[in-house]
Amino acid sequence: MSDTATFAERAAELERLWTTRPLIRAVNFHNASRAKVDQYDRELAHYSKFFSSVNQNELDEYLTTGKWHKSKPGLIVSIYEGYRNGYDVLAPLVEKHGLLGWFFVITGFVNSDVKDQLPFALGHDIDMLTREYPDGRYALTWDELRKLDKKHVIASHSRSHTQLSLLPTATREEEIVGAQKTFQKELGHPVRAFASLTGPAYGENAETDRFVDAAGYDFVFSNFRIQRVQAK
Amino acid sequence: MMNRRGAIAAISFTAFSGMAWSLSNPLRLLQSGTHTFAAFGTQPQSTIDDRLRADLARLAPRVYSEEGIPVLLACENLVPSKDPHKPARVTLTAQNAALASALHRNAEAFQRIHPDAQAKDVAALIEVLADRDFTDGGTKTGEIKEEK
Repeated sequence: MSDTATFAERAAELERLWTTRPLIRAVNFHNASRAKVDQYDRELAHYSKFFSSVNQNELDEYLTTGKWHKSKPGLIVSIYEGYRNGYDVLAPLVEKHGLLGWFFVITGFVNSDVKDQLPFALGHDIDMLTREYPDGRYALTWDELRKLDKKHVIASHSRSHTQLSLLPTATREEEIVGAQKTFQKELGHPVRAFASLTGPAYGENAETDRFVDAAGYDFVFSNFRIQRVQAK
Repeated sequence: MMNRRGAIAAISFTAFSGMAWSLSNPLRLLQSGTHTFAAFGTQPQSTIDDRLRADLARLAPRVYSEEGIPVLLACENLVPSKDPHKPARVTLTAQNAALASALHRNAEAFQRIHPDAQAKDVAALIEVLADRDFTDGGTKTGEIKEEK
């Protein structure tokens, strides 16, 4: 979408999108404070009453056909950044309510030594308003991610959560392709979905698109869309 | 992900519930604006504005990084052409018409409330519409029947 658009132009663009493309619901979580467990529980209970889980194959089919095969519409529970509380706060609630988490992970956050995680977060637009772990480990571990990978969806949120369009080519490649290599190494398989900070869509930057293709991502999540960019 | 800072809440799609929509030419339908919407029982401007103003105020205090923020995402299949302007043909539902027309009406309302609104502010509007839709459990978009 154009960077110079007015409110009316942007709204019209979205209206056109909503008129001509299938829509799907998503709820975006980031840092899940333990103090808000009851609130998350209530919200997810409400959502699960009306909506159903979405796995990658179901999303692929929906993107391809626009047809949804379950009785309740799909809801993608997106859990961003790779916070530790995605594992011990949100995942149990998501599972309790029969939904599926889509964990968009910043590989550099997870790969940081524990002592470096807070500085990494503060330097990479990863909000740390709540810090509930006295041991200072705020990011998921790869062991936790491997466990999540068995029940949920692991996806790429780039290597270091930076504005891709501002990066030189080699660094941008590391953010997109390099992150995928890390997932391949740690999970034993590539991940299929990619989202970057501020969520530019596929088609907005040719170089970024080229690296998304090279990394083999199937889905690009952005602020207003999910795009299927490769057939599995 | 996207670290958007915006707002959100629930929609009144009463006028569209259960309606069999033809999407053969949805853009023309929507571009005809309030003239067309009046045929479907559109609420008065002041009602739309008041409700939007209230929802924006209600959702503004949310802490984005620590709450689940509902959003609505358009799904595009770019595989056949790799061209975002030419996605593959897919099935559309009543949900499209209901939500797109709500977006149209509320975008107009948003500009009446905030004449200096910028493009980035559309995110806040989308979040209001998503919050309304989630609160209603999707029952007002014609996709599913409301549970008794």
